[in-house]
Amino acid sequence: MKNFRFKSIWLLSESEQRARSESFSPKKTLLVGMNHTGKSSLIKSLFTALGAFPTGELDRWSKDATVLVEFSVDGVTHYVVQQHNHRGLFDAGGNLDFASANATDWGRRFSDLVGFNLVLTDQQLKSVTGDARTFFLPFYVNQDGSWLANWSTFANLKQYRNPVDSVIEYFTGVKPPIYYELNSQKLVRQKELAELRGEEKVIKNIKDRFGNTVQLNGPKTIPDVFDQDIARLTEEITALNVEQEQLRNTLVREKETAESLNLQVKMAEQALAHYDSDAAFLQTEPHEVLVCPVCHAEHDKTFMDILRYAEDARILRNLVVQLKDDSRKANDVLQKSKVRLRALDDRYSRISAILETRRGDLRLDDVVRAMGAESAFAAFDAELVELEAKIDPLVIAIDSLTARLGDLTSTKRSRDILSIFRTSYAAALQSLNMPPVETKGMKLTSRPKLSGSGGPRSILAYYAALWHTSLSEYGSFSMPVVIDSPQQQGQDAENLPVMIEYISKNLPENMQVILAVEAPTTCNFDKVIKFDEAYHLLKADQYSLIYEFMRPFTDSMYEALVGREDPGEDGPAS
Amino acid sequence: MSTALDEVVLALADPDTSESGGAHNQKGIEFQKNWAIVKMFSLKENGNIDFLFLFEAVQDVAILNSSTVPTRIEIFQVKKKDRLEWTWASLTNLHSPDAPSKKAKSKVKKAKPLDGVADSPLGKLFASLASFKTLESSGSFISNAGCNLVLASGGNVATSLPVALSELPSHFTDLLRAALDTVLKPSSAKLELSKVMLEKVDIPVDDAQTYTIGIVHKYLDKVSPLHAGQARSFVESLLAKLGPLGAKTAKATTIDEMRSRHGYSLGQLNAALGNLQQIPDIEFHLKQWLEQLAKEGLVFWEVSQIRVAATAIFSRKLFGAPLPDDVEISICCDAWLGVNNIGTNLMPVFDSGVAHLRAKFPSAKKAELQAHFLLKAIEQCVDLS
Repeated sequence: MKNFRFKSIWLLSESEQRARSESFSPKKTLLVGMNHTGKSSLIKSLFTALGAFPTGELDRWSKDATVLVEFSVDGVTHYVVQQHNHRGLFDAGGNLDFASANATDWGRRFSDLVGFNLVLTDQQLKSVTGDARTFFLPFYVNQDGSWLANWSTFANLKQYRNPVDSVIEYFTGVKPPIYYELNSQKLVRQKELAELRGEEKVIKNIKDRFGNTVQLNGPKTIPDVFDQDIARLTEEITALNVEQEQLRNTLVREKETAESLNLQVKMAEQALAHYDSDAAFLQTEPHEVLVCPVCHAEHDKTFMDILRYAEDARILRNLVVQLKDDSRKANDVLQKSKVRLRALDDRYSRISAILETRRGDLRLDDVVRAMGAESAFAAFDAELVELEAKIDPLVIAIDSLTARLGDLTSTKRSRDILSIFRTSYAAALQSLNMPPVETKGMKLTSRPKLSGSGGPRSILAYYAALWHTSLSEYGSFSMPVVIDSPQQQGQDAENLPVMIEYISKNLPENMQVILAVEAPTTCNFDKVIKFDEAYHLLKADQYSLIYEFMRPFTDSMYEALVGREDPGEDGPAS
Repeated sequence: MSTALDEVVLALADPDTSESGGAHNQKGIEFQKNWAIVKMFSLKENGNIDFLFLFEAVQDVAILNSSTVPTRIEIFQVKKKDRLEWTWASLTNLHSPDAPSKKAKSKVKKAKPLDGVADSPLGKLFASLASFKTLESSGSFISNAGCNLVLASGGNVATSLPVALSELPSHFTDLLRAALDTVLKPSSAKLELSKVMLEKVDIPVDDAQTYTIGIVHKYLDKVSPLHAGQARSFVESLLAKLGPLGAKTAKATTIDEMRSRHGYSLGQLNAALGNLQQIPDIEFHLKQWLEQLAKEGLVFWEVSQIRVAATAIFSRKLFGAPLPDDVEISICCDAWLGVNNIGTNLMPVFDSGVAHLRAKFPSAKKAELQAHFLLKAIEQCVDLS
């Protein structure tokens, strides 16, 4: 069972130049003081520092006050310093471990630190880990909300969907931390399994479709004597086929090019003949405006034009020479390709003739075809076997996780826990001078709705029953309990001492309890802290000492935050 | 107006000196024009600062040493001969005089009438020369064939460098003088046999153009090697320009008419060479770029297909019938090349340029686009200097 304890608190207001520090007993601490002396402020500071902002206003509370809280988790001491939304986490030696200007980041870090792994759902139906508010929810009775019929201990709890049920089940052990751990392992494996199943489905589909296309009714038995020959011939004929295909493509391209070469040569020669007659005309006939005798186009007679015309002809003439050369080369290549293709064709028909040869009723190529289909099926099967080998252990792991989760959420377990709760509730009611009630149908979340003088007592009895249950063999956390002032409206003077006595005597021995009351009591508390000055929780005379003590914490925190890109307050006040 | 040039125009009008042109066949004209081009380049190479060739004006060809203020005229009979050599008789229409030493032994030959010389090639040359008094004049008989005349010094005209008629043995020169005296006008300039030369040239009658191309190629190779490969087009174009000069036209009666109907000057030749400088040798560069692309990865078939496409483009050009696509693709090439540079490796720019074209002309053949791109890239990117 994990153990969380409040150890000390330091409060400091630089603007007021006042400060105060108090430490708490690991067992029972009493805070005594009249209204407005600062009991609630101190308690609220405790939770605010850790990231849980209680409901209710703080009277005349310095908004820029700095708070330092010392707490321990399983005996290991930590400090948290907080100002506004800035928080710094320190180890016992005062070394900064983490700093944050953001409520979400802090909430995550705090849950990690205390080992709080409750998974809740937010309003967008996303899974999120609970933070300090849900961590302290069942263990803090806030004078500004908790004494009523609903759970309004902390501000902004509505960001989660129905967090209370899950929180209570978590701490009482109905769904303990191990449940959430196992459940997350199960989710990971289920995701993995779903992917593998998908793959398996695809392969099975392909196999089925393939089976419909390729009939497996060919010869199934392969005569050993043909085995090797068939394999070799099949390989050879496949390779030949590929080669033939490539060569045919090449041949077609080569033939096309060769043909276009010849065609272009012919066309060019015609064009040149046309030019030649044109040029002869130009060289002999007088021409003011040149009219081509063939095409009747008018040629401007400037030398430049004649020269360009002659140049075009010269280029064409040379291109024709090169094309003829290309054509020779192309025809050579073409002939060679044809010879190669003939050789390939010969080999191909020789081999397919062998494959076609019948041996009794068994045609070799049938065997080859059947073999192809069979080997494809074999490949699919192998793939499926491989997938199966991955799927099986996952299924087993998920089953075992499901079984363990089932144990954790078994009816018997729930019944045992409920029984502890109901018994504790009945006992508490009795100790608190309350008439017995029918607890048989009571659920963990059956928060009482009594009004009048019995109201606060029944609420206390309900909380006490939760606390008892959380410390049973099924619980996981030993948490401190903070009760702010049982002296609620309607509470008669007679029963107030009963409640205080109940708190001092009847709560479990090893539970840390911090109780705030208005008047002194004769009941036994391990430590009593007095608050005597209205509106002056903080004291001027303690300022310099506490300032010196807190300063290294504050400095380290801001040093770390300022080093970041955005040290601003970007999260909601928590 | 130059009196010297007027003298030439006057000579044109004189049926005795002007060349009728009717006596030439096609080959003869080709021979003349090619000889003229060879002569032009030789004059240019020898550093002449001006000239004006006149075709079919005064004899076959006449060359003035200036197109504006000439001081000298050279008159040429340019005759091809398919078989054998020129003989005394074919040059002069005169009988061959016996050498004085052999006179006693030989039987008396029948002498041709002396005035027959007027219709002979040399007779015509002398008649033309006779009409120039202001201009310093000289004449030449040019042919691919030599003359079987023995020189006074013992050599032979058939194998020698140009020789003056005055170098012939005296019994020939005496006879010629006597004959010419009977036909030339009394007002003519003084007859000087030393001013008329006989010259055999190497230009082959059957393929005069190829010979000329060789000469022009040699010249271009020396002064403008990037365009040497274009010698053929240049010569063909030059022949197209020279061809009509003097042919089948009415004789000029003014200096300007003479220049435009018969003349070709050094200035015109230089302008033509200037034109050539502006046209890159696409054939040479295309070949080179395709070789370069082959080195960078194009295979034989691809290169060949590009050549096929280029051939098609030029065939269409020669037919004067480019496709609408040819024009559009060319414009697109120009635009693309305007903003993209060609680096040391051709392939990257070739690939991206062609990819650009393929996106614009999806239905065109790849090789067609490649050919267009290369031709345009050469036109735009080759340094003509």
